[in-house]
This record gives sequence, C-alpha cells and structure tokens, in this order.
Amino acid sequence: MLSFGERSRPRAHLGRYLPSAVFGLAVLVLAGIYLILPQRLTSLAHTIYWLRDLAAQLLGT
Amino acid sequence: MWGGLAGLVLIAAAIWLGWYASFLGLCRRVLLALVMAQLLTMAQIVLTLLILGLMGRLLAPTVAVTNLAIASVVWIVLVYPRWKGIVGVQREWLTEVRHARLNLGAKLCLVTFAAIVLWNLFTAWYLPPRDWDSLAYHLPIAATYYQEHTIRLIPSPSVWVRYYPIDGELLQLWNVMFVRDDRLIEIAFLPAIVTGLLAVYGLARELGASRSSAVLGAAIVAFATGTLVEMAMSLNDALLAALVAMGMYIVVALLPHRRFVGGSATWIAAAGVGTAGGLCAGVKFNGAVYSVGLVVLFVYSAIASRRHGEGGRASKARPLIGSLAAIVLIGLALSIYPLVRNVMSAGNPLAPFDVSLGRWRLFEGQKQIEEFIGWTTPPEVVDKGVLARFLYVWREPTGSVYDLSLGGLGGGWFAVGLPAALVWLGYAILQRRTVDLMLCGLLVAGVMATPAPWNARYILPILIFGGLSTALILDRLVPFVRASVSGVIVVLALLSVAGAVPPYSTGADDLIGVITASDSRDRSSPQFMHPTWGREAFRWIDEETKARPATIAYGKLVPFIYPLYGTNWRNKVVHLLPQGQLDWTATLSSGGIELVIVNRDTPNYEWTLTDDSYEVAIEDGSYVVFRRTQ
Repeated sequence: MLSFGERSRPRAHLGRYLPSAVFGLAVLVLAGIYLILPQRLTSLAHTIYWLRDLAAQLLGT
Repeated sequence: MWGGLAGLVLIAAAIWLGWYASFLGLCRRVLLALVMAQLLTMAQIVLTLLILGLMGRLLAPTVAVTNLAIASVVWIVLVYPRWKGIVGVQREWLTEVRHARLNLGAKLCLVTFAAIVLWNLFTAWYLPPRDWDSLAYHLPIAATYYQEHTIRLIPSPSVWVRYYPIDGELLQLWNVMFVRDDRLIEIAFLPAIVTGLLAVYGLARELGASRSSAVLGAAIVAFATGTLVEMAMSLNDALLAALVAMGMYIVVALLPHRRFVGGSATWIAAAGVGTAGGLCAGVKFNGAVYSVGLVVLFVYSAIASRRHGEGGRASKARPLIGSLAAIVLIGLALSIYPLVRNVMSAGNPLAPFDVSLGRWRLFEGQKQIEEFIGWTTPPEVVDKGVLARFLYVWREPTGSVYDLSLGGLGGGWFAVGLPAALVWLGYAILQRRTVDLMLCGLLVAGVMATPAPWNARYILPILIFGGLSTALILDRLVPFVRASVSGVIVVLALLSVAGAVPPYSTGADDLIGVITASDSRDRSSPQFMHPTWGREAFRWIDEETKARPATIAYGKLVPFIYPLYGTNWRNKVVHLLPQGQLDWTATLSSGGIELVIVNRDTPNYEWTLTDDSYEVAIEDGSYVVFRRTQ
C-alpha cells in the first residue's frame, strides 16, 4: 500500500500512554545530557558577554 | 552599488516570480510552486552563467539580457495564458493561511527563525567573508570567473580552486556581478536553505503530520547549528541538504497526485528531480550519491503511483522512460562541466582524489580522500571508533557553534531528532511505510558515502529524517508529552540561536567598526584572520591597494587567496602554476605582477628573492610579500 499523500489520516497515538511516556522520558534524558555539558554554559556566557560589549560600544561606555 | 543592487533584485524577481507563477498555474499548489521556482531559478542562473562563461561572455550586461529574455519567454508562454487561475489559487491560499492555526511551540520557532535570519542578513551585509574554505577556494573561484569573464580551468597551485565543482560558486558570483561589491556573497545560499526548510515542512505534511508538528519537525533542521551558521557563510553543506529536501519533497508531493495536475505531473517532477539532483552533484562531488537516490525515489514513486492509477502499465512506460531521460539530461547539464574539465586536465573526473573500488583503482589522483581530510580530524576524536565519534560529536562538546566539525547538528537532533528517527524507522518497518523507508534509505546512503561522516556539517541531510520523524511522532503522543517535547525543541532551538548571535570570529568592537566604516573597502577579510596565517601580510596588501588597485600573484602554500581581491574585487589576481624558476620569473614579468605573496617554505620564495625586479615589502611569519621595483 502506498504510504504517501495521507493528509487526511486521523491522528493515532503510538499505543497509549506508556510509549508516549517512554519517548518523552528519553527526550528529557538526552536533552539533560546535552544541556549539562559545561560547554553550554560557556557558549551562553560568551553570547551574553558579547552582547554586553556590543551594548557598551553602542552606548559609548 | 545601489543601482547594481536594484538591478539584481529586479532581475532575480523577474526570474523567480516567472517560475513561481508558472508552477502555480501548472500544479495549483503554493508550496510546490515555491520549491520548483527556487530550483528552476538556481538552474537558470547556473546554466546561463556556465554557458556564457564557456563562451567567454561572462559580463553583467550579457548575463542580465540573457536572463531577462528567458524570463520574458516564461512569462509569455507559461504565465500569461493561466493568469486568472494563478491569481485564484494565490487568493485561496491567502484565505487558507489566514485561518491556519499553529500551537505556541510552532509560533515561537517561526518567530525565532525569522529573527535569526534577519540578524544573519544584517551581519552578512557588514562583515566580510571570514571562514577558511571560503577564503581558500569557494570565493576565489567566483572572483576569478568574474575577472576573466570566462569559465575555464583555473591554473592555481590550490587543487581545490583547480578541481572543485562550481555550481555553488556560480550562485555566489550571481550575487556579486551586478552589485560589484561582495556584501551579498555570503548569503547566496540563504534563499535555497529557507526553501529547503519549507520542503521539509511540506514533506512532513505529505506524510501526514499536522501543521504545528510539521513546523516543529522542520525546526530540528532549521535550528541545527550547521544550518544557522551556513545561512550566512559560503560553506555549501546546508545548501546540499536543502537541495536533497527539495528533490524529495517534489517526488512525494507530486507523483501520488497525478489526477490533480493532469499527465504533466511526471514531467514536472522530472524537471524538479533533475534540477535538484544536478545541483546536488554540481555543488559538491559526494552530492551525486543523493542525486542517484532521488532518481531511485522518483522511479519507485512513478511506478507505484501508476499501479494505483488508471490505464495499463505498458501504455505508461513511455512517459516514464522519457521523464527519466529528461532527468538525466537536466542533471548532467548542471553537473557535468567540472567532471569534463577534470578529465581533460588531470585524466580524473574526481581530481584531486584517488578513487578506488576495493582493489581496483578507478581514477588516479594525488591522494586518497581520507588523506586529504585526515589532517583536519580533531585530536578529540582521532582515537575513537566510528560510533564513538558520532556520539561524541552529536553531543556538541564545544563552546562555539562555529566549530562545525565537533558539532553542527544541534541539540534538537541529539535529544529529539535522533530518538524520533530510531522510533519512526521501527514503526515504518512494522507498518510497511515504503516511502518513509525510502527517504531514510536515501539519506543514510548519502551519509555512508560521505568521507569523514563523523564531521557534522558533512551529514546535515540526515537531519531531514530526524525532522520528519519528529513531526510524525509528535502527532501521536499524548498531549502532555507532546507539549513537553515541543518545549524541549523550543529551548534547544533558542540555545542554538543564542550561540549563533555573535558572528564567527568577530568581536563586538569589530562589528561596530565595520558598521560605522564610511568606505566599503574598510570591511576587509584580513582584519579577522588568525595571526598565524599571515594576517599582517594580507593586511598590508589590503591597505596598499585601497588607493591604487594592483595585479597580484601568489605561490604555493599560501592558505588564503580571496583576501587578495579586496572586498570590491578591485585587485586583479593572477593564478600561477609554474614549471620551474624560469617559468615563474617569466610569467611574473609578462603578467605585469606588482605584488607577490609567497610562503617562505616553498621554492617560490627563493625564485622571487633572486629576481631583481622584486623586493621584500613585508614579512610575517612564513609569509612574504614582494613588490615590483621596476
């Protein structure tokens, strides 16, 4: 059976609550692993300092 | 410059709108028309520049007249007869858009994306090109064609300048040739990348995703750090990913709906696939794998849709063969030039690479691909196995989004796209969702054929399957989990964007400096270079030639060629590939070379030093600039 052109297909849950919860949990764990790296903070801090520098330059301070 | 800019906008609009209206009239679907218009516009630009370049007529007026003539034919033949229908479809679409509803996550993604695109446009306008590959070979190719008004083998000591495919570089040249300033060169691929993201959205919709989920799925691709960064850079990996997405969308969107657009659907799809596939192969060599994948997808979809259509199979065989011939013809037109050029000059279409298939050596080159790119492998991953490399890089353990080898796929891929792709792959196998599996197979084959696939920017196309899977799974999650996963996508998107706000290699004072500079020539690449690579030597050349442009040559192992042109391409750069000292000296003399930059560790240095016509002007580490004395 062709599986494209299915715009009108009704929404169907992947099983019921358990598969959804497992997928959601996996996403949260992986996001945690990604976010917990110190490099995330380094990158964010770099952006904040860069924007602060830019604002200071623009305001002439 | 402003007159040239207005001319560029008018010509580009005439071409793009002509193709858009044509396909809106033929397909009666706005997204399909947008994608086809972008592809055909790029194809028209590449082919006209290529043909005029091969004829030695690569001049702005000739290019403008040729393209306006083609656009006029398109408007008269394809647009005018269907004008009323086109306006009607456009009005219907506007009404539909007004009533469309998106969830908060999708809206946040759209607003954030619009903001970063505007920021990228702003910084690209003011900042000069600054990344390695752009300065080393992408942009020198475009600038050389512009200065010589012709397309031919460039006799550069750099193998990349000599042998690299040129479609991306022709698109960059298009953004400069009317403006006569390189302010727009770094955003040459932006329209294609944005259209590629629309194609990912469209693919998700075709496969059954809701609007909001399709937007969030496309966000996995859009907010990958590689995509964000390459929107305003000359690297072409995101362009390749966009072309793959466009090709796949055209097949999936068009072929099952033949009854809506009449018998011409197969031909329109063939035009789209031929163009997308040809540009894939014409942008970079390994793009050809995706081109073949698109053709396989086209053939499968065409046959499958016919089985479900009317009429016998035998009676429909001829259009399929004809459309395949059209794909091959269009594809070759867009990609064959660099292959032929390389065969004629090096006896190897894929020069400079040494190509082997198992024990068989197909083409003799300078080195294996692995040797060429091996030295760029970062020490962090050099001792790791294949899987460990992937997992290390996908976590993006780098403090800068601009490190595109140790990162580039974004947090959205690692946390959402990757698990979604694995889950959806299993689901598609169980449910026999053939097209989903074919899309996955096409992208995985492309990744497997990529040298150094751990290098994130090389495998950006895999994000497409992650995005599609995310969109399709989101609709099947219970509401609370759906909202949570959407929230994660938005947070990770914002984090990627935050990292991409400070432009590459640019301090806040540098940005203010180029914004407030009164002269366009003050925004020069050398001021952003790392000192190790001869920054002072390049800065000296830049300053020296501001008032009086010069003819400049360069020797082997000079890493950057593009800064020699100046931001408005005022200097004439001469490429030399001498046979020996006599040849070098004679060419410098006959070419009227005023400045020469060489690497001290090459024979070019000794040759120039012993030439009485030149004296040392400045030395900076390994790099020495000579100036003509008589």
